[in-house]
Amino acid sequence: MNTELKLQALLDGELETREVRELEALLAKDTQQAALLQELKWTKAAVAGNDVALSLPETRDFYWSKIAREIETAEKNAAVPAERPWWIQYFYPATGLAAMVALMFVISGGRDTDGANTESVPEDVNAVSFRSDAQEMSVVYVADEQGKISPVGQEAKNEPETDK
Amino acid sequence: MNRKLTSSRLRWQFFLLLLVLGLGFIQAALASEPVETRVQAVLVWGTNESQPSGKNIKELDAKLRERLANIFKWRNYFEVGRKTVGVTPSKPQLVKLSDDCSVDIKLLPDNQAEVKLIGKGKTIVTRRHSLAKPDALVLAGDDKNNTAWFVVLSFN
Amino acid sequence: MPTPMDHKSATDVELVAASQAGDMLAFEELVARHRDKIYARAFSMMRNEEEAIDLSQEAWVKAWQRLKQFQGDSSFATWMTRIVINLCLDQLRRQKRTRAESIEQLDEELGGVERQMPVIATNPSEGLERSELRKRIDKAMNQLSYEHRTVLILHEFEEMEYKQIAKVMNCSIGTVMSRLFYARRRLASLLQSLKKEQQS
Repeated sequence: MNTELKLQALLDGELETREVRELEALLAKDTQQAALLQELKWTKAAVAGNDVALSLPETRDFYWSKIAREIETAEKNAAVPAERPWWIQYFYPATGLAAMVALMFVISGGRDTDGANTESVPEDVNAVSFRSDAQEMSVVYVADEQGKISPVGQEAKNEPETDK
Repeated sequence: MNRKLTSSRLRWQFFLLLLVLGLGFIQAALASEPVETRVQAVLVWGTNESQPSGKNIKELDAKLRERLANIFKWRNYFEVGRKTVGVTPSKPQLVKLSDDCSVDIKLLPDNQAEVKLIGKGKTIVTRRHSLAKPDALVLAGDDKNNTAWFVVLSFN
Repeated sequence: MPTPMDHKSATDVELVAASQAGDMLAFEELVARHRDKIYARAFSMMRNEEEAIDLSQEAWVKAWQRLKQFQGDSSFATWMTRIVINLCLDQLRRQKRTRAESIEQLDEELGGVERQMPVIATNPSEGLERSELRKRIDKAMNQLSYEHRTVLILHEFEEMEYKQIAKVMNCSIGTVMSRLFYARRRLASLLQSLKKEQQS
């Protein structure tokens, strides 16, 4: 790294402590480098807090209507999803899945049936249910990426409580 | 002589009638006694971490571990809590598995069970589960940091 | 029966949670709150109103699609800004492949031009009203190439470190430092020229 870039790194707080000391020693003797550092400081100070402040030149309703339309179109076009269904990611490699899963249903905020088995979840909960023939297990899996519903306490996981 | 034979026959018929009635009463008595179903509930935490250091967490039994691992993607499964209760149609059970989790189990007619998973005071899933098959019921979901929780219910 | 959400008085955190659960009205409120900032960032990078509107809209659609990935590690505004910055960078890279470069821009890319600029002796922003200073900075930024303008925006306005900028711009830390150095020197020179113009 040349001296000029080191001056900039010093200004930006991205220089190692050892190099800071060396540079400060240099600046005490080299007026040209000291002037350059001063210029960089002025420029940094001039730019700070002077980001462009603009208002979107469209009304709220018009701008939102275009976004809403795009979202709707994108969701309609996702009839054959490029990604696998969200629940696939939780399961053992797909090669084994077909052999294991006899029946699968997606539930969302309502009831769904699997012959004699039925389940319901609250409106704000997304879940999938299926049966594994091989393991003789009927599963109801609830999607909850934030882990808010988990019945496993923090103590069991030895995780500190995080502020939300 | 004929009179003796007739009274003997009557006596046998009478005893036979008593026997049939007696058996009938016994059967009725047995039928009114509620049949208890033993339910084992295990709370499991699935993670890719090999040595979590949480309290009261232990290795899951190998058989259950294998069943879960054959369905789900996590490498390790740990037991957080385990309880076994007897449930009858007249005596539903609320099983507390942790501070934040209970399972409410009720037997219904037609060989069914209704199971409610209650987390932090809220019913998360209500499931009617057929007891006709030997299936275990697994209620599961996401947990933080790409882990998962499972409540495995076995009905015997 | 849960009380319906008052979107206007809800915090961003609450609106994000509601949006993640599928509440479009909550998401609309987020758009209303942050649309100006997102548009302004897109404009600062693209320097074109129509492109900035299109890209900011696209950013909002992407945000809706990726909401479940938002973990709350940063503020929602920061997360949104990153999305629009990446979209703008993608667009700028596509445009660069088709746009003719000026000789000056090529010089910028090759490096060394900044060494020819004399060090300015006085503070070019001294005595200026904030609105006037903002106008001059904007005018000066407009004359930089998109790489130099972007690195300045990411460092000075988005407060990103060199290595974060390198990751976003898909270049080395050394390149980030060179571009930032050039951008600052050029800006100083332009501000000084504007000051002289004003005085004369």
